[in-house]
Amino acid sequence: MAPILEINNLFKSYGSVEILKDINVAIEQGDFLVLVGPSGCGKSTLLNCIAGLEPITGGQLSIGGKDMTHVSPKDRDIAMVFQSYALYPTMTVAKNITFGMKVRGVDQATQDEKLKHVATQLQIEPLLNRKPGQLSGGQRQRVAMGRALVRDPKLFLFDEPLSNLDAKLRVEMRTEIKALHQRLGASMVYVTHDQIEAMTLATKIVVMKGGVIQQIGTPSEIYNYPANLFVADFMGSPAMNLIPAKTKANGKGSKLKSRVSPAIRSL
Amino acid sequence: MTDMSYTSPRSGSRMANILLRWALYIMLGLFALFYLMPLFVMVITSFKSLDEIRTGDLISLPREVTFDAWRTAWSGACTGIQCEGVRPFFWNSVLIAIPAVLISTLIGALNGYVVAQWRFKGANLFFALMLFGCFIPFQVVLLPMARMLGLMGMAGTIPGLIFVHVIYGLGFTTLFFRNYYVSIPSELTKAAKVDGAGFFRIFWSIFLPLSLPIIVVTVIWQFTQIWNDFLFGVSFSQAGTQPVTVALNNIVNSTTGVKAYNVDMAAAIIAALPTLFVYVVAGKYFVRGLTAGSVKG
Amino acid sequence: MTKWLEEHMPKLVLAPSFIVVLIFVYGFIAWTAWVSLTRSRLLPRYEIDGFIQYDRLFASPRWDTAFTNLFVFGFLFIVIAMILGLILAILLDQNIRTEGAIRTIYLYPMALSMIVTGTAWKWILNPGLGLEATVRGWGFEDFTFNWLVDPDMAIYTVVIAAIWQSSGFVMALFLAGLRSVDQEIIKAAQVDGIPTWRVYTAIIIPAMAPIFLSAFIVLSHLAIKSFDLVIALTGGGPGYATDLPATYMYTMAFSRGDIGQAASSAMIMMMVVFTIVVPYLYSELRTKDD
Repeated sequence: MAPILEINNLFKSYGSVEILKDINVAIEQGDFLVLVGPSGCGKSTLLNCIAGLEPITGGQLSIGGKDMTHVSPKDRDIAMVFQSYALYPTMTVAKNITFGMKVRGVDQATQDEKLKHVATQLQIEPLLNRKPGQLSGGQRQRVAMGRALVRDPKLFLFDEPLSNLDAKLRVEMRTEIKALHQRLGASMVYVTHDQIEAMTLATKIVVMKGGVIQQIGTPSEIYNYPANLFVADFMGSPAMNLIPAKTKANGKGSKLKSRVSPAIRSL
Repeated sequence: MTDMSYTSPRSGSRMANILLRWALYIMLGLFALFYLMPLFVMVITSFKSLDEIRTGDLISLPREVTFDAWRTAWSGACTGIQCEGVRPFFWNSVLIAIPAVLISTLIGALNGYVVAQWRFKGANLFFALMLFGCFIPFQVVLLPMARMLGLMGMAGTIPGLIFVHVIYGLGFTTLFFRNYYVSIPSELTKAAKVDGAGFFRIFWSIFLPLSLPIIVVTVIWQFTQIWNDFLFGVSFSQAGTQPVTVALNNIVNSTTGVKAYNVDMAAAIIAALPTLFVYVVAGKYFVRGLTAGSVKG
Repeated sequence: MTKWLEEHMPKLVLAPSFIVVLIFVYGFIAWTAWVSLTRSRLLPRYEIDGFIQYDRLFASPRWDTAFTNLFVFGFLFIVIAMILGLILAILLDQNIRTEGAIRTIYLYPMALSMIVTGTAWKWILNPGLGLEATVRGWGFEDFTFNWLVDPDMAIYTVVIAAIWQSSGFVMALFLAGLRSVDQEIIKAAQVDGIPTWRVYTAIIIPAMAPIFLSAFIVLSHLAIKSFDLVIALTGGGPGYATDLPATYMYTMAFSRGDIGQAASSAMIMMMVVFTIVVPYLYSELRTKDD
């Protein structure tokens, strides 16, 4: 089966500034891919490139086996949830969710049916006639997800959707997103700077820094076998202990030699 | 409101504070008189007979209220060769202002939308060029515009004046809408793109419904500017197509006959009524319009 | 085809305005500049003849009056309007109960056409029947206020009328500015025991520097464009004592049939505006792009 998302040698520059360098990653149907890294590492840009909201300078991108490198967002069979939810402020919740269908010319009956289905799934039926301004943060989140769900896309894209919520709500919504993922078997690409979110949600993590992929792997691979010092330090809370050391070959193999404080030596 | 409530108790006795407060209100009142005085004088003068005016007390109320001046001002005063009062010219101003306001606002909205939400290389340059256009003294385009209107067959016509006002209003309307749309997060446009909406759909379904405040501000600003304009009016109109400001000036500065100050005042008030009315009714938005471009830059 | 259309739609939408501005603003400025370098009289001629129009301009006593008036009027107008506006803004900032009504009163002149303003003040300052006559009627037999017809003082009547019209706007601008100063800085000052007046002079007013600049720019712009007001109030007179570049230009263009002079005076106005506005716009646009 073709990977649901395949990115080959993707480069992205803004004028003369290179934002993304030689990105290569692929995920299978049902994967939950998390792009994680510090601010400015290019993860949001990469997500926008996958969505088609930003043009790529070089390389190739396929979704569902089809080359989407130059295809506009609406034809990529994707749905996106934004950090600020980006709900249409002058439309009701119901209209927010059905707007995409309306634009595509879907008939009213189908629109109503899909709306009902999604509303039940996310438990937002009582909110359908309200405007976004009248909703709480968590409710807006759900409506944003409803808008994405109703498109029944091949790929869900999330751009730091939980950053604007308070800590308690964040944990709740994290669980809901994971539950949704498992229930639907959907393929998701998720951007966050919070490595705890990454570790709990992902089936596959991409750690990025300065526009370059540092490591791709499952959460436990990233945690237990970091590919470099950056990944080792960035992932895991509390942070991994890092001790400077020298390797010295001594015939039978190598020996690790380091100056370690007496307290640790006695462990 | 800058909250200075903490400093009051510390700055002296309560008596001093009360005195200061009174002084404050008195000063405010005096300034209010300063601003109201001309309007007051205009109104009472317009209701006086010429005899009474000649006995010369500017601020006394009319001993005998007459509406003659108003009748003359509206339909009898002489603006050059014609003596039809201000009425036909009032109508000219309406014919000029309404289309010009609507067209310049619509185009400004689309321009502002593009510049604020659809980044591309030329957009900022375009905006800079438009912005600079707001500041030019119109004297520098009077001559070529006169020639151009002649060439286009629109010299001295109402459509010609509408054309001129639309062109030179675009800078401001674009500025207003651009500043407003810039504060709307770009994620909204992105979400709509993902939903499949195109350029005009996004404008129509998402941005336009959001735009009521800025539309009101822009319309009020444009209406005030265009209705009150004199320079374009006097340069590009002929006897029949002059706006009310030009007619007013003709009435007041006519060299024939006796100076009828009461008629002058009545005519001035008539000319001022529309914008004054708009200001009183929607003054809040007027202020916002004035400060929209200036405070945030 | 539709894909191309979709992609370039934003540019297409801007294109008409862009072309229009290019022609009717920049093209026209270029035309006027060109004509200002020719010997044009009643009709424009296009053979460049150097700076003779500018020589004639600055040799003309009428232009000399107009140009000087611009700076006298401009300086007084801007300075007094800003001071008055600031005072009014500070007064109104003191938790006044009827603030809305008072603000409306201070601002309404801005809604009037300058022709209306000029007409009203022309009547008020009428030597025989206006202010002078009224005050005399109160018993002050020797009171004179005939500035309107005094060649040396007439320009100051324009100043008065202009201030009356525009100071409300300055007040509104400054009031908004006063209130946009970070409240927390003010509270910190109060906790430190700094008296009210000191908070204004040391903290609030310095923080308003950009707004002072905005006000200055707008007022300069109004001053340079002052045409309507002069026409209505004094007609440029007595004689040409209250001429300003704007009225000079208009007279040359439409009454005297001297297009060369009209063009050159317009270009001088353009250059004055340019030197004030361009640095301002440049700094504004630069910081906005950050």
